[in-house]
Amino acid sequence: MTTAIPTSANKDLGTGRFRKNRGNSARSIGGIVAAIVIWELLSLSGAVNKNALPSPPSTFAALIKNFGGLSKSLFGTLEAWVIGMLIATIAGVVIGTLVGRSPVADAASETVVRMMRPLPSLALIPIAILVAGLGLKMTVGLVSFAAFWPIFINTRAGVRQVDNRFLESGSALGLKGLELLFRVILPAAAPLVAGGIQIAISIALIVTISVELVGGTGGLGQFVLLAQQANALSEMFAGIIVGGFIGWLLNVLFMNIVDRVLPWRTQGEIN
Amino acid sequence: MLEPVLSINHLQVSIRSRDGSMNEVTKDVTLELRDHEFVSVVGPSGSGKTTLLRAASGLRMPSGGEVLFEGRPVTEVPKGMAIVFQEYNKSLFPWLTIGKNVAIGAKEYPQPERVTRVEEALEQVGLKGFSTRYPWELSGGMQQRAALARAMVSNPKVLMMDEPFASVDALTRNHLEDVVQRLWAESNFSALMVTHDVGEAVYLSDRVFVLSARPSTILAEIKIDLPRPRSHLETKQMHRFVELQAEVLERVEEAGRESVGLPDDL
Repeated sequence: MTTAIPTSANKDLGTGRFRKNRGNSARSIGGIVAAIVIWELLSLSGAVNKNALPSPPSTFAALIKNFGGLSKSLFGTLEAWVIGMLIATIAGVVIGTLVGRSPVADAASETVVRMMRPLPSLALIPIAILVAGLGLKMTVGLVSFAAFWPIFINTRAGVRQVDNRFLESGSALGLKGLELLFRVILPAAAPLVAGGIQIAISIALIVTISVELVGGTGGLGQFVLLAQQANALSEMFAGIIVGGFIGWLLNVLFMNIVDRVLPWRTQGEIN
Repeated sequence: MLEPVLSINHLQVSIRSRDGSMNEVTKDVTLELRDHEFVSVVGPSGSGKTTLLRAASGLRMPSGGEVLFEGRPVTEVPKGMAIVFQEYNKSLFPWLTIGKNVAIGAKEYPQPERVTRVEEALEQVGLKGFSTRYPWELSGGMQQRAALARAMVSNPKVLMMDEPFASVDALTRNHLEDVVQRLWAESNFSALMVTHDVGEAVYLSDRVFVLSARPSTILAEIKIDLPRPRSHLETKQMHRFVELQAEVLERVEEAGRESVGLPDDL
């Protein structure tokens, strides 16, 4: 048996959580600078075809020049992303909880999950167009389909794997049924659910932009597609960079929310 | 004599092992917990102490015999019974502050009273002012005191304790034992504790039951006629304490010799 000894790490919380971040942000800025330098070198040296890789300065110039158009495209992408993520999260958590708490449904869903999960959402575009036609509805449908799986799978695992000692503790306190679900099972599963959402955030963005790119249904994907068709390489790269940036931003924002809402997620492991 | 608060009658518990066969852990255990009595059950490792306590508190269905709480059969953890587990870090909810953890124990009380009760319970265990802390911000001993507060806040008739001090260091254990002793003396609940620590059982109890190796039966019942209140420094030096401790230990070792060293069930 280990005895929990209070260390500065678990005594002095609020700060401990973010302590690492300061060093990390310096390093990540360093990483970005290095990436831009390598990009510049590749572009200058001609190692990569000049007609395929614009230089960083011309890309940033395009970024500023097209700020209005990019913002509008970004808004279009985010609209599909937000709606898709909302549907995926609600469906994933609700269905994942129901399936995870029912041994029968859990076993029955296993094969379906294994078959559906590796299915690339983009392969469903033709079906989605047939069903919903080109447009926001189709994009949202595909995005929520793709983002549903990691959330569903993690929620199912989370509610299934709740430590029996937490459940017994709840029973000993007279919690049962929905009370046990909302006060013990779901909080205990929350870190895994959050992990699923974290994965879904990136998947949803990739699918959103890809669908826009293939279907030409507005958003950043279409911006990149049109730029490519006009042979406007710098604009095309500007669009790609905005896509990367928003993916990073959404992840960081989500991690910060998780740190605040689930403070025990990492601390709980100390004991 | 009053009706016992808790009667365990010919309790038998079998556990299904991984290969599907039934494993008899508890063969035949009968014991009674009287009003405001402190009873301990000791036994060698693997004698199914935890299993017995879980069956007696309604967390596990027995395969034979019955458990009566205030005369009514136990099928789930009854109102009026509180449980303290060994692993405080898996029994306190890490997603709730200490205050909110304790408040779950007081959920039967309406709101203004609940807050007062939680505060009182925390004060009783010396955790006043820790209400807004999270369990993982506290030491092991403090967490177990919070678990005690959560059990006490419902004003239980019976307090069940499963190796409550096994996960803390020796000094903290002494302190926790005295916290429990004081709570028990100041309130009117009966306590049933399972432990592998003979000294602890003798120090706290009115009666100590010794379990045999598994499948377990009661090997001996030893009455602890030590004066109360007890203290670590004085009581443990008493000739009678040493005598009783030796007597219990002898029976436990006797049981242990028959034991094949099966791990206690989880």
